[in-house]
Amino acid sequence: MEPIIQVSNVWFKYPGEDPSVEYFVLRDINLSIGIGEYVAIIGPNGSGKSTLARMFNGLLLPNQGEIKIAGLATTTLENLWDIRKTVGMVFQNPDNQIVATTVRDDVAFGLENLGVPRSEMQKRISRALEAVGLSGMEESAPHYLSGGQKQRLSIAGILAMQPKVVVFDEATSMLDPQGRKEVLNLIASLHQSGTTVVHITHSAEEAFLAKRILVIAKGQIQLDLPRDELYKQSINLEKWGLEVPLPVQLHQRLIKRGIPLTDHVKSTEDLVMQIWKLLSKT
Amino acid sequence: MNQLVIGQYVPGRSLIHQLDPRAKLAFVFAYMILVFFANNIASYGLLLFFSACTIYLSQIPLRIFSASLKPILFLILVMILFHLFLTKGGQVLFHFSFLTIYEEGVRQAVFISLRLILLVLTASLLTFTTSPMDLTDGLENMLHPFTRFGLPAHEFALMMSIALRFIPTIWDETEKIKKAQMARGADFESGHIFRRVKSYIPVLIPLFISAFRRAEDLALAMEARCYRGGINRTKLRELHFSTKDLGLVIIFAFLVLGICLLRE
Repeated sequence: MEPIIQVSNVWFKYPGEDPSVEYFVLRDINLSIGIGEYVAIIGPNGSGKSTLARMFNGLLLPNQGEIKIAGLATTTLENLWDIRKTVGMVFQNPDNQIVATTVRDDVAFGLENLGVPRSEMQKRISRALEAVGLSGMEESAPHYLSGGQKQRLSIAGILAMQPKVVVFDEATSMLDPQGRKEVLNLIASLHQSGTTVVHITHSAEEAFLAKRILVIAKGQIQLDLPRDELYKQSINLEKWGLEVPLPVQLHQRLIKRGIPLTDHVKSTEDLVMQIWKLLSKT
Repeated sequence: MNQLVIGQYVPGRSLIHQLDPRAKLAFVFAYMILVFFANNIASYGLLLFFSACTIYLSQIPLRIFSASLKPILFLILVMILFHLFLTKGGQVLFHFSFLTIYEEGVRQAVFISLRLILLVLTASLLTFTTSPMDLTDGLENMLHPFTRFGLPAHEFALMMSIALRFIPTIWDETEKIKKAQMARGADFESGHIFRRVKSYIPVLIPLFISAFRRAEDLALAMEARCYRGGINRTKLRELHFSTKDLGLVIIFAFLVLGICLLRE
């Protein structure tokens, strides 16, 4: 099947920067994401992960190379609206992406832009609000919502436009633990319902919720692995200035202490199982 | 915060709330002009009676209206004093050394303050009974014919609604920055007026920077949601002229007739 996101040989630098190689934010990125995948992109600050995300819906265009969304190149101006309809994007700051003065009007904003007829709009709005658990708050002012609720409202605004892909650009980084949990649960249920999810984050813990993880650093993709395989070598994450998930650290330390655990632990659950087995033996 | 947001919307289901925002806007505009034609007790009486009726019909507590008058109280007071002592004409009512109050002065003082009160009450009634979204929608709709002459009606309305959306957000931020600066020893309370104004500079600069960042973020988010100006846009909110709105035209005709008959 044709990938929904196809990135080939993409180079990018912000305008005004020196044209030499070290100023390129992205250097020769190749990547393809299939329909229904749940991909996390992790990388330290300034690694180019957000820049890459913004290329997925044509907010930024590559200097070299090409990005195709469902077969449409982002560099062709006529494709831009179809591409933005296909790839929805949730940003970092919950306050700065709400346009309207009520919840309902904000969800409507994207639909109004698309020229969706009014009767259809009402159906889609109530469905989207239900999906994010904000039904009954249609008339509320965004100002009175919590951080998590604001971010869920932004997601509803995107869902109403019925995108095939939703990109979360560090969408949880400004939320409190409660709000973060709400949004992460919503991401999981989106994936369940068949939407392609790309989650950009600098938290390894969040990244490990995805099925496939890309590590990006210094403008290049360093690793592109299924979760289970990355788990085994996630001690390497430190190399790129990323935090190593706590269970991985624990695992490594236990081995160092001489506790007989196998090297190939695939996930936290796997680790817990092994420890259980070990404990019941003694 | 209530003090700052001029003309907050007071949700309700009264007859006045239900009127079409365009009808209300047009009526208020015409009514405000009409207020300037009143020139005696009878004509002012008619307008006051009408305003009292609309306030009663709006089912909004009187104290909210009186709160809306508070900011202009000082202005009214100045106007009254101004007219009392400076307007000449008619009988002398009061004389004490250099102070002389004429009959005409009292008349003008009463009428001018009544006029101001009427204007503010009418404007408040409009904003109290019409939600900001309806108001901007109505405005956009009414300005639409002028787009032919290059007036960006849609952009203007969107700008207004974004401004309304961000007033509370930026207000909160101001408070936060103020507290942060106070924690570093900033003093907003003491000193003469210039000093106090100057002490707000460390609040305003971060506020401006953050507002620009917000604007950039918002523009990006809007673009990501396929915003491309007013072309090919549909609207969730629909405006309907009803018979009630037609009633406003008739009422206005009667008011004009009444003023014409009553004024001198």
